[in-house]
Amino acid sequence: MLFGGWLDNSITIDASHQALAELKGHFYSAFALLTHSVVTPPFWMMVGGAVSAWVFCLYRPDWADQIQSRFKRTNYVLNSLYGFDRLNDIVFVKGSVKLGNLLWKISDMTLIDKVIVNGSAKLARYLGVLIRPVQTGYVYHYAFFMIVSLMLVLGWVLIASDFSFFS
Amino acid sequence: MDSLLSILIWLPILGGGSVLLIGNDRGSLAKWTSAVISVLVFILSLNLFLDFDTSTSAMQFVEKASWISQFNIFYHLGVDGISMPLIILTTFSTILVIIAGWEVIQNRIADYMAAFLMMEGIIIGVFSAMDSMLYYVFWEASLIPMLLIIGVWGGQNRVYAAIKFFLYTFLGSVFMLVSLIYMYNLGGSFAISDMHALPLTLAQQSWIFWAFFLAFAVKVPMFPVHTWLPDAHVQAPTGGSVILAAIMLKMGGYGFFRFSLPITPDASSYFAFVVIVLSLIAIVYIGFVALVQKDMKKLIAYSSISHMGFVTLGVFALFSIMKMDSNGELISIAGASIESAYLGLEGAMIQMVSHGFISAAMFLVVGVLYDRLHSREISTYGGVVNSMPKFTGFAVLFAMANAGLPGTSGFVGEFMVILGALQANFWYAFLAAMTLIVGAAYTLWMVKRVFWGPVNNPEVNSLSDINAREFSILAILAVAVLWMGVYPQPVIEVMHVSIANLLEQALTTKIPGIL
Repeated sequence: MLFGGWLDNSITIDASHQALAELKGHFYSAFALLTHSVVTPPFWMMVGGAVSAWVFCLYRPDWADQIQSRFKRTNYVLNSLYGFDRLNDIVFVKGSVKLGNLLWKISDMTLIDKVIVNGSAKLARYLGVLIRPVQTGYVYHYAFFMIVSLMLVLGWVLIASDFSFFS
Repeated sequence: MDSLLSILIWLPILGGGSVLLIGNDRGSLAKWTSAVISVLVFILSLNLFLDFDTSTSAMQFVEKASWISQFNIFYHLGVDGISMPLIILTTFSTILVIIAGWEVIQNRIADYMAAFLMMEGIIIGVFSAMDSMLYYVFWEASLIPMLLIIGVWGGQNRVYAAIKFFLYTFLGSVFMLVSLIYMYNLGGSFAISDMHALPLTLAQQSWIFWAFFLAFAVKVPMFPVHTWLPDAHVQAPTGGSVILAAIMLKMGGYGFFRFSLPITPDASSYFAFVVIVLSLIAIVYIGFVALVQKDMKKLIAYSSISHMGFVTLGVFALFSIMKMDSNGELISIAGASIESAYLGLEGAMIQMVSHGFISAAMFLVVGVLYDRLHSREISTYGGVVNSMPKFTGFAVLFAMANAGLPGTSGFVGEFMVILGALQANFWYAFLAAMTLIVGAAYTLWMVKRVFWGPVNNPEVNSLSDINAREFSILAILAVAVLWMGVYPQPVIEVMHVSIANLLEQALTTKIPGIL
């Protein structure tokens, strides 16, 4: 199809990529390829596969059972696909689900939502409860706090300016 | 049309007002009015695409009028190749949510429709504002309809979710406001273009960058400020989830394009690594979290966070690909080509548009099931294909797109970002590509448990397949997903020159003598 004009101008190949041109040198005709195939190993492996399938499935199925019972371990390894499915299930599937649960429950639900988000709301409420008794309603209490605060601020300004604020 | 953008903003807002006036008692009229307005706005918005000049990065369809003259604030609108696709995505999605809520919403129908129409106008305002104060007003205003949509039409825990959504996004935005006022004090202008040209030291840029980052990272959302999204999605009605995922998250990504990169290029470059790490955490970590969700909406919400991680990765990977030399020439880092920087940024944009389609479709799919069995739990379902074959066809297509299957829009953006990231650093690309595997795992596992297998719940047997209304919504989205997957070129073409301009802005230092 590639060299027989089937695809015509649908596929164009850059002149700098010569791989297909190289391949074309080995291509004579579809019939030549067909006849050549019988002297190649893949063809005989295919024939061997078809014959063995016929023998074990149709001609003598009991042979398959005998081989299976004699080579139990090999049969197990082949049947379990060399253990890759099991490995995949234990490591990747269950591991991913465990990791996901861990990240969701510990990081998202506990650390971010419970501690930081809801925690800051609780902290604000707690501080409010803590400070509420200071609001006595007496003016002289408020005046006292204002004076003390002013003194603290002035003191901080003086210290920060190395007592040069008034000079 | 001289005032096209104003019409696109105010027609749905005023239309929403008129729907409110119609009242909940006349629900049918309210629905039809909303549908007509949303279709009209969508058709008008197509003019942006048809009349768009792809050869210039200059703002187009510009409108300017004085608003608050004492503070030099203008009603200034315009679009470029970055904002225009997002506006069309907004008008497109609004039609879908209005039709999706047609039979489902029985309570306060007019209010529901009006909220979505107003939301549409406000979000178009966000994407087209060229004055930062106007942008900020629209940005904050968008919270109100969504707060109401979640709070009024949401699920059992709606008040908690609505307040959490509001507080998170509001907290982030406050820092943005402070930085906008700071820049106004420096330059005397709120115009975004003037802020782009504002000379800033690295220290100033750093403060501004983090202020913007907080606002946009919450909106995207990025790890670790993402936990409001699953709650909001789970509690929101289907339409709310669609708009939230398809459009509102894009406001964060858009912010990085419009503000962070051009205003604070040096700080963006300086802190790019931090953003990339957070993006990769979002992509991988959130992917694993999505895997263990039992609620379908929560799973899709987490999947959204993971997919939006590609947007921020694509944006900030550019600083590991290109830099500008002392002659003002763009030069590559470690042999990367300039195309890789384009790939990252354009991939991020494509990912935003694609995610708009896919996430909207996925939430609508869950909505269809929820309307029938009133459950979002995966374990409630199983074997849905037996009773809903047409619906399953669409659901599997969207699930494949969510997993990033080639031929769907989900593949294009992710592929472009991964290709760009590969030039920046192999490990960025490797970790980002991990999400294709994890994404396929959680999406296909959900598909298997919900749509295939034996029917465990007898109620599943009695499910009716999608009706004409549901079919048409899902079919439109399927076409969009496949169109973007097979032929994304028109969208890339629209944004290319604007991205080139942004690339130059992002790589031009504002600090004299640093090169």
